Formats: sequence, C-alpha cells, structure tokens
Amino acid sequence: MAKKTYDLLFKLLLIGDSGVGKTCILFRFSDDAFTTTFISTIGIDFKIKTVDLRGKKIKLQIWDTAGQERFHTITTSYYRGAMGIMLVYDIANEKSFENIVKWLRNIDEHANEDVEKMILGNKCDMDDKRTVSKERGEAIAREHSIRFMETSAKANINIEKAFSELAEAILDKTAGREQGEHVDRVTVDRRQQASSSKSCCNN
Amino acid sequence: IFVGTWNVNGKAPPTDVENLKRWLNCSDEPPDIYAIGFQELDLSKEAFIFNETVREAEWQKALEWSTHPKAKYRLVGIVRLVGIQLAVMINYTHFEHVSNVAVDYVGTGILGKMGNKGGVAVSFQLHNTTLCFVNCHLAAHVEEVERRNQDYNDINTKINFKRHPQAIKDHDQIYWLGDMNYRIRRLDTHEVKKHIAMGDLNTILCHDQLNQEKERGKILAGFEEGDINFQPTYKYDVNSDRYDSSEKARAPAWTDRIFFKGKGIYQQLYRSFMELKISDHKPVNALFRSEIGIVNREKYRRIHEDLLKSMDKLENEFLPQVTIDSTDVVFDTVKFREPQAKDIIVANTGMVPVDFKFIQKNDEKSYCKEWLRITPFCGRINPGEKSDIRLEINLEQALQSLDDILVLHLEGGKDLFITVSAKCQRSCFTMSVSTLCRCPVPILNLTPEQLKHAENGQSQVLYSVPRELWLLIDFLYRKALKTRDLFESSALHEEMKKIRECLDSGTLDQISDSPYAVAESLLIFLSFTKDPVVPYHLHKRCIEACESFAQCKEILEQFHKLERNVFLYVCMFLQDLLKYSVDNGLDCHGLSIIFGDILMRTPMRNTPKPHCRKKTRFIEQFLTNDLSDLIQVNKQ
Repeated sequence: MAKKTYDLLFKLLLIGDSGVGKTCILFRFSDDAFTTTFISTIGIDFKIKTVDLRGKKIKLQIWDTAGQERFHTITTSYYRGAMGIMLVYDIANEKSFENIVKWLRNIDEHANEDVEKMILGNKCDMDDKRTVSKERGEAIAREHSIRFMETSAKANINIEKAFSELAEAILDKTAGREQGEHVDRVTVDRRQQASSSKSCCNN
Repeated sequence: IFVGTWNVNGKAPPTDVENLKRWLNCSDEPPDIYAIGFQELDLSKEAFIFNETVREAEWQKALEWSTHPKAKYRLVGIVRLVGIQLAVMINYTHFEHVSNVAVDYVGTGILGKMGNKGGVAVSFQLHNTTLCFVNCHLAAHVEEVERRNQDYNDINTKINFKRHPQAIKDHDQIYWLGDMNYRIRRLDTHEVKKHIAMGDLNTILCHDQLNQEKERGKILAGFEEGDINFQPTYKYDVNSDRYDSSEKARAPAWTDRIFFKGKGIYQQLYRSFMELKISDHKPVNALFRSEIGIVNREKYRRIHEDLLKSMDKLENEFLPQVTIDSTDVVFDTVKFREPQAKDIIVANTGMVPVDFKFIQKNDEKSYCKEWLRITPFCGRINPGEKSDIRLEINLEQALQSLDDILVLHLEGGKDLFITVSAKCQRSCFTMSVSTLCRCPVPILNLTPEQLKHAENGQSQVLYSVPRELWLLIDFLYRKALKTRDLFESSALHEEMKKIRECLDSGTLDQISDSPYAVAESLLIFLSFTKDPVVPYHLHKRCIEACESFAQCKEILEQFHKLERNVFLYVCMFLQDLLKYSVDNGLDCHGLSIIFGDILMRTPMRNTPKPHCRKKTRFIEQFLTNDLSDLIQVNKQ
C-alpha cells in the first residue's frame, strides 16, 4: 500500500485584483523563481508545496485565481473548501488596496466561516512607487483582525514566512478542534434542550 | 565496547571487588559501553521455579562499583532468565543518544521456560546504529552438540523485540556471548592438559566442537571471533587455577566465548581473567572499537528538505497542463439563425494524459448558454497532442450581444476560463408584435431612441399588424395561393437569409422569388416572435374550450389587441388559402396542426400529445367558422 507522504493537507487560496502579483507569489513560493513577464491568469490553477511545521509534514495545495473583474462571479465559487485565504494588494496601486474591502466582503459571502485570512501588501521592493503606506495596510488588517505582511515576490521578502504563518494558524485551529471535540458535544446537547423548551412554549 | 561473559556457578559476588575491577578495567580509556553476561547466577530452586533471585541486585551493585573509574555509567537495559543475565551500561555522556531499548529472552527447556538454559538479549539504538547483545547458556555435556546447535538456533530465531528491528539478525551490530558449552572432541583430559602445559593451544582448538560446528555452517553464520590466546576457561577447582581434579576430571574446554557480526567492528582484546577464582569458570571478555553512525542533523535536514522539494516538483510537473490558442473567442456580428463556428485548439503541454470537460459554473443549468454548442464538450488528450474544440453559435432570440464564460476543467488539475462573445444584429424576427407595430421604419434603420420607445410601448401603434408579417402574407396572396406543398417543402438558406435582410432593412424590391421560402419565413416569423401569438397564460383555457367556437371566441377577446389582430389575420389568410385547396392541396386539419403548434408554442417547445390535438382543434375552429363578425368588431 502506498504510504501517504504527508500528515495534513491544507487548501489555500490567493485572491486580489488583477496584476497585484498573486501568481508571482505562488511561483516564488513553489519554484523559488520570479519572472517579470505578466501573463494574466485566466482560470484557476494550483501548485503543491510540502512544508514541515512542528514536526508535521503539511501539504499545501495553493490555488491561484484569476483577478480580472469579469471573472469574479466565477472565482468566488472556488472559495468554499479553502482553509486559508491570502488577500493580496499592490502597494503601488491604490485601487487594489481600496478593493480589499470588497474582497473581504466576497470572503464573508462565499468562504467557509472559519477560514484563516491574511492580507499581503505585495511589491514592497518598489518603495519609490509606493502609494499605500505600510501603516494603512496594518490599520485595515487590525480593523478586521487579520494578519498582515508586506511581501515582495521579486525580492523574495516574507514569502515563505507568509505561507508558514498562515499554515501555522490553520494548524493551531485544527489541533484545537481535535481537543475540543468533547466541548462540541455539550453545545449540541444544549441546543437540543433549547429547541425542546421552545416547542413547550408554543404549546 | 567491553563485552564480558562469566558463568559464576551460583556464587555471590566477592566481598572484595578488587579483582572484579581489574577484570572490568582492561584499558586506559573507559569503554563507552559495558555488556556483561552471567550464567548460573543463581542455582537455587526458587530461581529455577519462580525466576526470583537476590543475586541479580547483588551482582548489578558489584558491577556498578567496579566499572572504569574515569567514567560514570547508566543502565541501558537488563534482562534475566533464571540464571542467565545480561546487563548493558553506557557512559552517561552518551545516554541521551540511546533510544528504542527493548529486551527479550528465550528459554530452551520444556515449554520454552523451564530449565536454566536459553538466551537473553538487549537491543537498542545508539545514535543511528542498532546494536544487539545476546547472552546464552546452551545445553551441557560433551555429547550434546546437536542439542546445543538447536538451542542456538532457537534463540536466534525466537528472540523478538516486537518493534523494529525485530529479530537479532536485523541489527547493524550483534555481539553474541555466553557459556556456549561446546567441548573438546577426541582428546582426553590428559592430552588436553599436556598441550595446555606445552602452550600448544592450536592443536586443541582444532578439536573444539564449536569451531567445527561453525565451520559446518550449523551455528553462528557470519559471526566472527577473535583469536583465542588464552587457555580453556572450564573447568577449574573453585578458588584455584587448577583444572577439575574431581573423579569426573572433565576435559578443559573453551565454553565461554564472544562473537560479533556487523560493519565497523574491530576487536582489540580477547582474553580470560584468571584472578577471579570463585567459580569453576574463568570470566572472558573482549574489547571492541565499534563505529557508531551519527546523523548529521544539519545535513539530514537539508537532504530531507531537498527530497520534499523534489517530490513537490515532481508532483507539480505531473499535474495536467494544457494551453489554449485563444481564451477569448470573439465572433463576427451574429445574425438571426445564421450559425457561426470557431475552433479553439487545446494542446496538452504536460507530462500526463489530460481528461478535460466543460463544467457548469455557479448555479447555471448547463456548462454553456443555450445559443452555444461545444463539440466535444469532454475528452482526453495525450501528452504532446492537440484537440480541436468547435464552438458554434446560433442566435434565435432577441439579444444585443452574446456573452458567456466557459470553464474548462482538467481532471485532477486546474480550470481554464474561455470567454465567448459576439455582437448581435437585431432582426424583426425575435421582436415582439407590439414593438414591430410601433416601428416607423424597418428595424435596422431605427435609432436607439426609437427602438427603446417601441420596445417599452411608449411610441404610437402605427400598424394593426407588423409590416413584415403583412409583406410576407401579401406576397403569398399574390404569388402562392395555388402553389402546392406550401409550408412543407423547405427552402434554401440563402433565400431565407435574403428575405430576412429585405424585411430588416426595408428594401423595396421583391422580397423573394420563392413562395416556399416566403412560406417558411412566415412560419419562422411566427415561431420566434418574442412571445407566442396566443398568450401563454391563455393556453390552458384555449385547450379546454377547443370544442366550442363560441367559447373560443370569448377567449380571443382576452388577447392583447395586436396579438388578436395577428391571430385573426393569419387565420383569414389560411381560410383564403383553403379556398384553393383543389390547386394547392392544403387541408384544414394539416394547417391547423402546423399553425397550432406555432401560434400556441410553449416556452419549453414540447407540448404533450393530447394538448397538441386540442391546440389543433382550437385553430380548426377559426379556420372553419366565419370570422367576419370578429373583423367587424375590430373595425369598429
């Protein structure tokens, strides 16, 4: 029998406006490479990368999505099932930052409720063209209680760190869930009691 | 590694441990590991039956006092079967690298436990090397060679540490010690003693049963032993260096031996120790320089990472991959019922066969819009090969443009999006009767403003029936009243296209030369009006009323005025056609079937059979009865 080469499988998703560098971030993380030619992602693609976290081999399946507006209604249908979402903007593109709010709303509407989120301000190597300050990025992340990091796929800044932090957050949650099994059962019982007492009132 | 074996003949350890110390300290540098095996630790009945003895603790204490003074030792494992005991101790500085310790024993008496013969073993891992020490006490007496062989094999095969490595043979290094009890063959006591006295050990060694059995391949396959340069260790008079002087006068023998097997083991010493005289055996020990594999953590981590990376790379490379020559398919301006086709080429650029299929997106019913056809919509492409996929569009409804996004799914891989778009040219076909009656000019000449007002009913009604309908029927009045097989022979696409263009652009020329094409255009015109001529919500009542003309007429009054006009206009024309049935061969029932299905079409376009008959009947009522009073009303 073939042995599983990993302990856990995490499905991650990269979203954000077109051209903010989602594909480059993924390419840097999976292949440790960077290309300056821009090829718009027309569809949904994924890559595999296995990481070691706290002695566990975790296989990350990272989905890269088309950022173009015309595909938004389709790409949102891929949110479900994602355990972690990276929301990327470009620090040199004001509009992409403003749209963060819209993307967050999309996540609320279409992703699993307990999905781990992270905001990435990409292209932080291009400080001379910066229009969105790091403070503004931090502020919006704080406002929504989401992790935040500035990254550069080109200069390989914080790329590994971003993925491992997101994966670690999911791992924490997974571990918590295993232990909290007992607690869940209590909640279910309480809910049943509540519903039965309600039906009493109706009578 | 210090390996020692001693049959202590049931004696307690000596009170003065000086000699014990000298036995255990045979080198300047302290050994890293001590493995000391005793046999006949306790000869009492209690030990024999209950496997309990105070001797174990006594001897262990004695050993601990006597180990090399330059190092401290910690016990790795200790195991005992009756009188057979094995203790393995390690220099405490190495202790943290010991893992996976296990012990086991095998008795070779009845039921595998009775008797004091058998073997005990300790297994553990030091850094990355697995070590196994086996201490045995095999059957006694000179004639019991086969028995000893069997004991050896039982121990070798039955010891099971119940984890990996499981069996003795699975370890990197094996040290086998004990009172093997093999004797000297064919030399009597006198001869043996004579050779010993002469210092001629080799002659006696030739007659050593153990060496002979090992050479015959019966025991200790693959094991090595150091050269024996010491005199036989059995059997002495207690507290002396004198061989057995009792009546039995057993021939001296090398019963106490140490063997080893595995890579990187270098024996440095093999000796007996004469000063320990409390037993009828002398202790024997060996000293080994053994190579232990140590994992370079940094290198291990790097290799591990590289391995994961290359596995990921492989997995990514083996994902299905395709390229499409165009993911944005734009068609020329599309016109009513003039199909267009374009091919896209999907090339498998990956390493594995690709199973593709178009999948539904969001909550849509189908993988593409109703005006599009994809062939094939699924299939398989082998690596390096290409597949043409044909996209065909056909417009049969009033749309300003065609837009769709197709999702091409690769089994086990990514999804690609393909956008399909086209501008539509508007046509009088697919317009609503109400819009057409409000158009002051042919449809293509309308300004957007005019069109908008006509569509939302703001502009004035200019015609009682659509001009286009009048043109078609007028043609048929003039040219085709006596034409046979009207509505049955199909016309050429080109002729149909020409008629549509005439009607849409309002050319004043003859709309066609072919009555058949005009007749078919009439059917199509009525089939594709935005809404059916008989309003859908009235169909049920029409069906119920179909046997009574009076009731049918009542329902007709429920129609919108313009639809009512169209309905009556068509019926009048058909009545007129039927007047020439001798010439044109048409009959009322046939026409009613054709026009019933068209004028009362359902959105799904699949009417149940019984309803079809009743729709036919409904139309028949209007083709066979006098309609003049209805027209009169209209004129008022």
